Amino acid sequence: MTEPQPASSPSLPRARQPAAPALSAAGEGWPALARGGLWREAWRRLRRNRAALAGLVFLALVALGALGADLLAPYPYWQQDLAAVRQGPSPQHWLGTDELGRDVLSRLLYGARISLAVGLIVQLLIVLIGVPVGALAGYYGGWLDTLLMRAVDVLYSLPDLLLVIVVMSTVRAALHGGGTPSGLAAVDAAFGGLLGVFVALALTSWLTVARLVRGQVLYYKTREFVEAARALGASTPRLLWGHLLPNTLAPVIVAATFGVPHAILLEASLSFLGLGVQAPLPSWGAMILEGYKAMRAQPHLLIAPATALSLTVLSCNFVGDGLRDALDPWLRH
Amino acid sequence: MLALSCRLAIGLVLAAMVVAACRGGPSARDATQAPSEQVLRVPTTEPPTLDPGLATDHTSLDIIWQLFEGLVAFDDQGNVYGVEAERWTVSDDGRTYTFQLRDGLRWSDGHPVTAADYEYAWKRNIAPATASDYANVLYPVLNAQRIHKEGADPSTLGVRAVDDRTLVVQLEQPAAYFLRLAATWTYYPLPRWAIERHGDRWTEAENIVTNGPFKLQAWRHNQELVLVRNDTYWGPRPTLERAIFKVFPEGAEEQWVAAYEAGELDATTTNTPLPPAQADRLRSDPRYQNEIRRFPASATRFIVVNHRRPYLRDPRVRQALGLAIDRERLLNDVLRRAGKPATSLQPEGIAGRKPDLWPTENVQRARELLAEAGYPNGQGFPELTFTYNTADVWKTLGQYLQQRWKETLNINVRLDNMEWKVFLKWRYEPGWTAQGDLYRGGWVSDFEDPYNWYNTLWDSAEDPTQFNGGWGNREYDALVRRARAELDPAARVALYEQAEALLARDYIHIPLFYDQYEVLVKPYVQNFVPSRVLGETPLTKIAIATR
Amino acid sequence: MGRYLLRRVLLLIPIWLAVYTLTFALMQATPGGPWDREKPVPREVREALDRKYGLDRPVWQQYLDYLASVVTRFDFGPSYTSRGRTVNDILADFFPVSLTLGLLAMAVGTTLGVTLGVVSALRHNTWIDYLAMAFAIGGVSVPAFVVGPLLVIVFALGLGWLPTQGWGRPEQAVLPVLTLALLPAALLARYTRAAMLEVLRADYIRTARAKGLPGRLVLLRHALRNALIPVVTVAGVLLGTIITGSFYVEFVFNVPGLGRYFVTAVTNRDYPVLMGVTLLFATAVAVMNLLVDVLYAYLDPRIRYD
Repeated sequence: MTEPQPASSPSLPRARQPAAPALSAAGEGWPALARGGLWREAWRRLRRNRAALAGLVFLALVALGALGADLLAPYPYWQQDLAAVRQGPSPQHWLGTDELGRDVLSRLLYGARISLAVGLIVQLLIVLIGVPVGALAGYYGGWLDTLLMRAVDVLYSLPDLLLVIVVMSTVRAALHGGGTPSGLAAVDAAFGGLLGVFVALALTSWLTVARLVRGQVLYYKTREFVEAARALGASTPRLLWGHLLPNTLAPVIVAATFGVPHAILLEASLSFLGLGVQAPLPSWGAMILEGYKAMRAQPHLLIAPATALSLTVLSCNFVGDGLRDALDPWLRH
Repeated sequence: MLALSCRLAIGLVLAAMVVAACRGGPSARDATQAPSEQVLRVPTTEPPTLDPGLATDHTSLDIIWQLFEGLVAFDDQGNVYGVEAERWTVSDDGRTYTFQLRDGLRWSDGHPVTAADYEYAWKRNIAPATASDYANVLYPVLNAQRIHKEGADPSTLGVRAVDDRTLVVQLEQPAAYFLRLAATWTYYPLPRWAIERHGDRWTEAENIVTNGPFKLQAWRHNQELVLVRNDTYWGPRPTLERAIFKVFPEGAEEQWVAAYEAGELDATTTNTPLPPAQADRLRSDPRYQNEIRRFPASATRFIVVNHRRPYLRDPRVRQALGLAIDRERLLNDVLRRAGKPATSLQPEGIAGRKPDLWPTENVQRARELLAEAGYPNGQGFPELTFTYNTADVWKTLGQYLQQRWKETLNINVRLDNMEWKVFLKWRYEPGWTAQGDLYRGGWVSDFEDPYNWYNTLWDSAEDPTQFNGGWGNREYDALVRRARAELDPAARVALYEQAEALLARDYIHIPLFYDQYEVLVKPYVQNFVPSRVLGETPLTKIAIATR
Repeated sequence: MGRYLLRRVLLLIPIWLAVYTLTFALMQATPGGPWDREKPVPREVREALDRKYGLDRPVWQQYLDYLASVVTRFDFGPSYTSRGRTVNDILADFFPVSLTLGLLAMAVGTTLGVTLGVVSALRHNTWIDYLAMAFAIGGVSVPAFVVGPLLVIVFALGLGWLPTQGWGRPEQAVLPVLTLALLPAALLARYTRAAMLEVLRADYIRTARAKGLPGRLVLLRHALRNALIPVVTVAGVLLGTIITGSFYVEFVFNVPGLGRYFVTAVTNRDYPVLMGVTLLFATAVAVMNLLVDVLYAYLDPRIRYD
């Protein structure tokens, strides 16, 4: 007999995140004609928000670290030193070494690439799918609304883990199923085989955003300024783009700031099932998972990536809050 | 309203904590204090079945071994002894076995255990309608294959209860390993009346009827199984009164270590391994020096090589890959696993094994071999892919190999990590046969006989179903097929030794290490001794040194 | 309202059917099957297993037969992994556990979250506010598989107050409830704070304040009722998710709930179990959505359904 099913270990949490509700119900939206000025005004206000600025600076630093990992990292992320495994912080290795004697700081820098990519690309895809669906459902209402929203209910209930496995296998077969490697396959390899994860996570996570956008559009489409614009003969696309969608920004931003860490952690749980980033490429999520196992013996393996993730989430929240406040034209402190 | 509910919630939480603190957890014992009862608490995962005819996995067997028993058994020295069979005879042609059952055998419900219960069990297990995963272990019995593969009548199986205590077995052809097979769980007797009455649910605690030293008192699914002494058992009375198997989720390694440390468990089992990081910590903690123990296992981990790939067909290339690995360091520093570096593919205890014939680690020699094969310093050698399913041990191993082969042989390795079932399916698809190079492999003896290795694994007729490496050698096949039927033990071992020499010469796959079971056992638990084979740990021998 | 309710309940049928169909399709598309084991299962055994579980029939027939058995007999069939157990057994044994754990956690989480949110809104930009929001951010960025073991190390192994794992006695529920309550508490704290801030800025509250209406309590009640609308939305969706079981919490604390099956049924390709759990989850989510919409109308009289 061969060994039984290997440790499945902590794996996928339900990929759902709760819907962020419509928060900016106090405002009445902004007139379309003043938009350019509002952006400038918003930026000015964002700059005055110290927390948001600090968050922005930190995120910029992380992004720089990720992009410049080749120059900044003291060691290659894959370089092992079997004579110095699982060591605590030292002058040679500021954040210590892992089970194969690799430098944790270097892996953290390279890991930022994968984790930021997961967080941002998935959020981008989510917005690209969720906003149009939500807007259409809310704007047209009626049977289209019922259809789209019940479809959201259905997708919400599907076993997303199964979906991830199917999508990843399909993507893998399509990319590496023989013949000459395509450009997309190279992209996939650069992201540690995560292209399928991006697609699968986006497919299961846009539902919340769609619900939010629909709620906002429903609320605003009966407000005076929209009615007025319609009476003046504004076309549907113009109503949507010019008047309704800008008002959905605030909750979408809040949802996205929660969505980034969520996607990063989800990638981590997928790596337990063999669906995450391909070794030896690091990701923060995978590092947290490995660190959790060594928690009682070598806590630095957990503390380093967990702190990096928490600070990033904190920054995302500050920036998200700042953006929300800055974009709410009626907010006065 | 708000303030009230807030106060209420805080109050509730505090109350719960106080209750818990006062009770101190009734199941928690002081970590060092000996208990006052003959009760053993060990972890397990949820057993998929307790039906000996259907069991395929270690978890189910851990329980089944305590509840059921068969005709014969083997000790770790390879000596056979009768369990329910008092004695047995083998005909001169090696095709007829006659077993005499002991007098006074009883099922847990009082029914006598008869030869007919064996006949029923074997015929039921081979019937295609039963859909037993291990039905093929019955294949040596006359007509078994025809019944299972071609739909012949199960009643034609070559087993017959002549009277209550005499069982006659006809084999298709002589099989020297038949007694070894007959000791496995698929050959255990079954209580026909219970199965016919309760159907698939006969293994629930309220329905099950067993013939072993323990019986099942309760099975709270996903929580615990409670085993108690079986008073109708024929043999020596176990010292233990009760064994509680606490069910944990699969892979909850940290949890059973924590439960053990908190005094909620008395031992961990061979089926609930210690996570490497924790084992490391416990080994260096003086409190646990006497509680962490290792036992050998009849199991080998190795790297499966795809012989269909032209550049891997040269034995010198396979040897170069194998000789370049530093197994001692791999085990102790990288994987931190209990184990022993492997030379032969066969583990200790398998007759015919000759580790001396296999080449030993030598980086210099590895480089020379690679150069002789036409790839000096790895030049012109294509990138290799090492595939594994997700498990920490394989992931770490893959990364070690990647760097090790790059440093020593200048060979590049790509790692390919797959979800469990995707991996299992992939092994029989062109993704492996046409495009794969290496994957992680391992084998644990079902029964400690050379047949279970030389024939089951490396005979080319078995190849597509086992590791699917594409290696075949007619001389080897002829040797192991002769050994299968050879009834003279010395001649049989000699045949397997010749077969071993061929495996060593061809270095068909790359041996890594032999497994060991590493368990935690409280000092007051006596005679906790797992067998090499599947880590079977008989509760009958265990005693608690009570206060 | 009655007609609206009826329509929504009727809408559950197509939702169910769609979830069933899509899940069935996903299962067909998933590589690897229930009989793929480490030790390869011989072809004959595989065929026998297929026959026993009816997998030798054409796919469309499997689709219809299973649907019929669920609809007419509420029978989800046998589990492929636990031989001799049915999906109905599994749901009946483990759903109540997840439900209990989920409701307890939701009660703790909502109380804690709403309180923190209200307090931090009333004490906007003070250290109380910052502390509460630090907790909220910590709650969403530290995964349960890290928090759970930390609690075990402190309260079970360190202080020895509570058991490390298990289910059935009250003290065994404390740590899993706290861990599971963390995410709802964190999210609700954030949403409540945001909603309260919005409401407190609204004209009618400012007017009330300007008029010197007495008592903070009146203000709180007035404001909180309106602030609760988004909170209810979030809490409803969370509840639907939480009562069907959390894999992490059940895994870490060895709670015999249904959450484990979301993952193990997939890794084992135990499709009947997966189907049963999925349909149960779909029902829970749909019912919660419906409840939220009804509650929404109750809290905000301007909202009318028809």
